[in-house]
Amino acid sequence: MLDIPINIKNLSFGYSSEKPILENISLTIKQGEKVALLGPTGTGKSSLMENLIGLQLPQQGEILIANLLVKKENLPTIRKIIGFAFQNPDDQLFMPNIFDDIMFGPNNYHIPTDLATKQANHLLEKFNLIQYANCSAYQLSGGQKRLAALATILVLEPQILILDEPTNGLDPLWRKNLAEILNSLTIDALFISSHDLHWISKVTQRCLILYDGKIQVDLPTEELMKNKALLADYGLPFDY
Amino acid sequence: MRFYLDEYAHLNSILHRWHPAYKIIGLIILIFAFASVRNLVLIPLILIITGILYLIAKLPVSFLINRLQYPSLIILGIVGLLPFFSGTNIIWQYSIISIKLEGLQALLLITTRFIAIITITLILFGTTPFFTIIKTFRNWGLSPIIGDMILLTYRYLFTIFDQLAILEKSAQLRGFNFRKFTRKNLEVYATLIGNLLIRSYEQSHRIYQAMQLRGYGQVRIINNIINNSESDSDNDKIDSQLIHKYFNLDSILLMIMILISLLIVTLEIIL
Amino acid sequence: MHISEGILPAPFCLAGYAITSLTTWHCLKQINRYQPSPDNIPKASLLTAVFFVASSIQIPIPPASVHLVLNGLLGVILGYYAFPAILIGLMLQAIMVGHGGLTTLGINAIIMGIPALIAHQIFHLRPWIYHRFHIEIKTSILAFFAGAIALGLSTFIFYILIITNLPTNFNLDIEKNMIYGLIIAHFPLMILEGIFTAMVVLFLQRVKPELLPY
Repeated sequence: MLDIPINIKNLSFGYSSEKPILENISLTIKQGEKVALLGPTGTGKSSLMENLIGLQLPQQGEILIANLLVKKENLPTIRKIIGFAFQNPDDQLFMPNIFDDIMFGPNNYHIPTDLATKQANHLLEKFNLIQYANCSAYQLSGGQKRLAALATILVLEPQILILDEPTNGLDPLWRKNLAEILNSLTIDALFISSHDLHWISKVTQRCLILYDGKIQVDLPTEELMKNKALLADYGLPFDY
Repeated sequence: MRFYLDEYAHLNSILHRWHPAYKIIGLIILIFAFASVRNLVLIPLILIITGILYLIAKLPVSFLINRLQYPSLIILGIVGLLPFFSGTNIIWQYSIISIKLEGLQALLLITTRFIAIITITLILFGTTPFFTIIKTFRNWGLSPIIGDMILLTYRYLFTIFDQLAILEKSAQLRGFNFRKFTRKNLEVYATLIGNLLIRSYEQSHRIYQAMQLRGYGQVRIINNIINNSESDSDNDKIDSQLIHKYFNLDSILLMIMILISLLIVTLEIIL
Repeated sequence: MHISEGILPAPFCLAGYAITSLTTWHCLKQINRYQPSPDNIPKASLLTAVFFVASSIQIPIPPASVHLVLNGLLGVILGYYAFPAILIGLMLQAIMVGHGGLTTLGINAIIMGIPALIAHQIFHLRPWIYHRFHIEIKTSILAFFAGAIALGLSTFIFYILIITNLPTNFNLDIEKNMIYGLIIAHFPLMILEGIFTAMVVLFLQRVKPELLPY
């Protein structure tokens, strides 16, 4: 159990000093929270998430993951705490077959093989992918790939799960499957960036809107979804 | 054009069950024995050996025919004219066109070697999962850089084929005519390939990030596969088993291959 | 530029493997020296896959069509990774499509790979060329020569090997003339390959210059 899984203090980040992508962001995600990060395309949602796992480093401010400062020396530990799912699951499935993909992380972190194998098979069964264990990711459908990518992260038993646009390209049935799986997980914090307002309302309790480099809105999901005018103001027309 | 490997790699023949390390060595020796044949008398022998092995492997005939089609055209393109130009003993003539015996013999020899070698290669790759073969070579000292590159290249090959197809379709739907040869068309092709290169470059960056996030750097991809492949758990201890038992099926089959190869090379030298 | 199975005698194939092994070893050493960062492996791998796919494209040159070789382009972009990349590409082509061969893998890697390394050295001259020339002009010209010369060398090695090993019973003079003739016949293809390489490299220079070395 993590007291404050994610704590961001005065974070500023950008590729050039003139126009920062993220400006002075402060944010806390507490134990058990399931938070959505909304915002139109290009506002920096992915950049914020990449900063959390140290794929990018801030120009100013600091990020604490489970009270560990995000800096080079702490990255191996932080990356075991956080499970991060990329927008495109193909980027995450690079081994010859799905089973090897799932085992990739445990092997690198020297988790005993039989324990990891058991966990891998359990996840494959849970996600209905057991018959695809020896298949290449190329042979899977979009939804199956998404779940397989999730399995590659969950096998490491992360305490925080960060998902970047997890419903891209998924049909309604797969969105339902994914929502049910996420709701069944016991993790300390869930942080999802998405455009999919309907889906977000099934999975998260708190919503942030990132716009113009800042967190402009921070409301309970239910409340925000009723405020269509506010959503439209930030480029998120609800009915579309 | 795109053929998946391992279509029939999970069947159950003696050759499928043959230990991959022994199989690779045995069949490679046989292939080089075939490659050393220059005497026409040995052609029936190498064809019979190839045929018997293919039957034992229980691979479908369609598998062989599909994969022989394209390379056969190429080989005929290279050697098809030999009977008309090579040699001095004319066995058939019409006007200025003549077929010479030596050229015909050369054509027969090269084509037979070609078919035999390709068939044995197909037997090797048809009865052994591709990554098991790469693992075996890795155990024998293949560079981990090359091992990782083979795995990643193969993994993303089909994705990139799809991307190209989509780009081509998208161009066609906007009136691009692939059959014209103009400077403009060439520029479009160059842009297509440039786009593929950029996309793949950017994707490779993300893949590397995904690998980093799961601890890559401490252990190579190829070593990951060696460490964990549950389906090939018997073959994981390739190094220690290689010289362990001398009279099991694997070593008997290897010795048979070596004997056949020696027979071919000896006959080649004698005749 | 692929020699199929069965054409070359075994000693040639083995010699090919020996030279290719040495060249690969040398390139891996250079990689560890100059391009050691681990993210180069996914980069080289995916670009290898692109080259495999790109070489399957047929450019129509009526009445027929040609496949571009693109080993010059590969050399320009990948540097020392080009040789292992070509080796892997050839291996996969031989197994998956039957183009080329496994006994002739070593030889084919020499035919395609060594000119690729030379193409890389040609493009390496980019920073040394008079700085007042516009970057795009320098880039196009060097890329053109890299592509054209790579194909020319590949053609040269290919035809020498084929003609000296096919049992044609021709005498040395006829063989020499055939080789010259075939190479001259390939001149238009060399020009085409050079132009195409220049086009792609120029596109990359404009859109993603960090893909290009130097």
